[in-house]
Amino acid sequence: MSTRGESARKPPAIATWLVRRASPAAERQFILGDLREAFDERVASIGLARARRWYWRDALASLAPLAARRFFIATHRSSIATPGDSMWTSLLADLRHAARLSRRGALASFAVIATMILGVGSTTAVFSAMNAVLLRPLPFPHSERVVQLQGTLRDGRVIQTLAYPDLVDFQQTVPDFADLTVFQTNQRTLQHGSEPRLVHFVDVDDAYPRIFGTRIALGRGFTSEDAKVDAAPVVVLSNPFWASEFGSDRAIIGRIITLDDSPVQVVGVLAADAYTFPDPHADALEPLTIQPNTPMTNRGAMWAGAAALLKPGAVLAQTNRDLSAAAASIAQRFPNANRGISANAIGLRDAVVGSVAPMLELLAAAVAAVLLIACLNIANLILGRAQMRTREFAIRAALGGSPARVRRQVFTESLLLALIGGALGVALSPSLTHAIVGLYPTALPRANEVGIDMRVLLFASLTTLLAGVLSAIPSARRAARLDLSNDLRDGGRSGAGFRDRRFGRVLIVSQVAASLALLFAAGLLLRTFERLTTIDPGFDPRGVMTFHVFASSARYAEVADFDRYYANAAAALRAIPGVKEVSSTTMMPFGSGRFYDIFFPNDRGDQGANNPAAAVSFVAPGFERALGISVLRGRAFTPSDDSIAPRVVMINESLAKRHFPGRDPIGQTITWNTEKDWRIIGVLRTAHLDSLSEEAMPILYTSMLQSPKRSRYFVVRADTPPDQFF
Amino acid sequence: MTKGAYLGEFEMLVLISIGRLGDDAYAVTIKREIERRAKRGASIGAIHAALGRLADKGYVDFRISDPLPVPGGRARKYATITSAGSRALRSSVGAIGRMLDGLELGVEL
Repeated sequence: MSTRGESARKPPAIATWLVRRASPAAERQFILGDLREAFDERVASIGLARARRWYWRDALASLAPLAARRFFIATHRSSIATPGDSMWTSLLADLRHAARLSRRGALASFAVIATMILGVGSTTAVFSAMNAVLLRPLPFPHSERVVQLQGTLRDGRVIQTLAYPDLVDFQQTVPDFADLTVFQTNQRTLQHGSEPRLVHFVDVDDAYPRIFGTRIALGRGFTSEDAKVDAAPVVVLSNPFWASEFGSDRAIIGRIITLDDSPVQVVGVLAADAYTFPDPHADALEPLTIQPNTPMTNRGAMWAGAAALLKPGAVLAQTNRDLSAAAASIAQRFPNANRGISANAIGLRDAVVGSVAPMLELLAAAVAAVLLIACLNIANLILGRAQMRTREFAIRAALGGSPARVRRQVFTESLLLALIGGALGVALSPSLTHAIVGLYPTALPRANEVGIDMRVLLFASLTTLLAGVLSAIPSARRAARLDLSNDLRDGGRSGAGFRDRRFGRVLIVSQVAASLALLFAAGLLLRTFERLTTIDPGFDPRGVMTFHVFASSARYAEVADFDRYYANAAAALRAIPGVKEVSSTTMMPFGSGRFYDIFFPNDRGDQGANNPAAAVSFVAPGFERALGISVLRGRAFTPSDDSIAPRVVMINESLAKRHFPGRDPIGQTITWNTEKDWRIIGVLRTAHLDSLSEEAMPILYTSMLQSPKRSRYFVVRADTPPDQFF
Repeated sequence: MTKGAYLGEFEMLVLISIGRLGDDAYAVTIKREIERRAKRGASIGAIHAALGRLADKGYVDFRISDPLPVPGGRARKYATITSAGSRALRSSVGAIGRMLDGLELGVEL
């Protein structure tokens, strides 16, 4: 009986079943338990029958709110995590929802991702290049202690070479120098296979491998015997040159190759990572032989490149004071050659990358601005989306979505977009880096060392995350400040409140300001560039082609031999259709072949150490026509100004103004190269030689027919495009 | 009252009941409290749904009791107001109070 009584006091089963069906699973046991407890109380107070009727009423009244609650949880569980879910479950749910929304607003999502790719990709690429070029040490041991020595001329001009005897003195008198190397660059012609090939050399002394850590992969390096005047000529090939020219043939060691028509023995091959200075792309090294009693050992003949290894703990400023003192002491002892000549040392890395540092820094500032604009753009796009979705946020809040959950959802969405954009940007940055290096393959020093490194990747990833979080803040603030009645009614139409509108305006103004700043900077750069292109270089480079030729002494022993060769070559070039003018010179504007020497106008007399200096250019007749330099006064060289004719020179306007002020230089004589009777026959327009932004230097032109040179640049003016011509 | 701290009338009643009941607030006692004081019916299901919404907004926390010490005894889900819940309640009630201030309805409030 008691069992029957117990069962008879149970609530109506159908009503219980209905409530069970309507309840959210997680709440079910508590809802049914509470109903049962209330039912039991009523059975005790009002009797079973009335209690059962109450149960039915309460159960039916519960169905609608419970079903709504269950529906809300079911529809939002996949996209909106509920309290009690694990962090990962809710994160996954948020991500799924974010992905769905991104697909729905495909255009806005695409804009965010594309902006991010641009921002992160360019930042990573430029900072990778900066890291490799400016920040990383040069790729050999103790590179931070290596300095390059530079010479300072009387007019303050800094050059990369010094006189050999001065360098020997510096090594002995500057206490911070642990080691010092002397070198020079050189070009020779290799006769190997069907085509002759120009080979770039560095002539090095025995200290060179100690200072630059140059390692040998095959064979041997140079010994002090190799540098002797009468030693058999030997060469060490660079690894890339060995691979490209000799197919990495290990039997190359001991082989004789032909350079400038002379036999030279290959004794070694450099390691693949060997660093060569000053030309990192040098094809080969050869021993530097100091020929005694030649201009090589003259003071005042500044031909030698030099680098020194400082002692550990040495301070560059002190080294430079010692170096200046040593140079001043030499100038006192040898005033004729060295008065006004000084020397200084700069860190090797600054010497290598100094010229591009401002460019890279400018580029870095520009991409930082691009990244800033990208972030602002993303913030704006995401804020715009959030305003469109005000109604959605309002519905969520009305159905019980907490502001914290909506905020988290907004953050997940913008993080997802930023991560996708960032990942693609990072993925694309190697190609972008490659493109940057490709833009300046020769101008960018250390280009072969540029690559993406882990720190830059980390930087880009952090930038991305930061951009994602920062750009979500305005939307999150919006989501947390809902005005339900307005937002539900107006939806996206008038969703933005005063503060949002103000924030949106601040974003747009910042974006426009940053864009304008970038635009102005770019405009100024373009203007500078335009002004540089409008500076008259003093010659007309259009349609001019130039190439270097060296007539070796092995094949052309006498002056008459190579003179004939050059005359024949010029005649052959003139016969090519489209060619208008052919000439040759030893010094090309913006090329190499600089040679400075001292002269003096005879009417002023020998001033000793105060004699003026000028760049000396040996030119063949027709040079000024080939290069488009106008003759301002007098005449230019003709074929009759040859070795049996009276000695003649031309000067440029800069030299005329400086050393013949207020008088006509035509007909004046000067002393140069120990000869007294060089007569000035013409004044040429001043041509810039090194830089458009620097003041043009004085130049003395002398006739190639009166001072023949083996090494010459041909200058060809033609209507034919260069590739067709060559 | 900030825009985000929005409370429906029924949610407000549930929150007030929880506040009054202290440690003993669960659906049965909340229902009793609302019926006794507000003189209006409230189904167990409606109270549970409102509690769920309030929890989503961070206004209430739950604590599950040990099973009652009787045969077949069940665990109860007790609710407490969070500080955010208190703030939301204060601002909602304050807003209503300010709205009513000086208004003649002809009834005693």
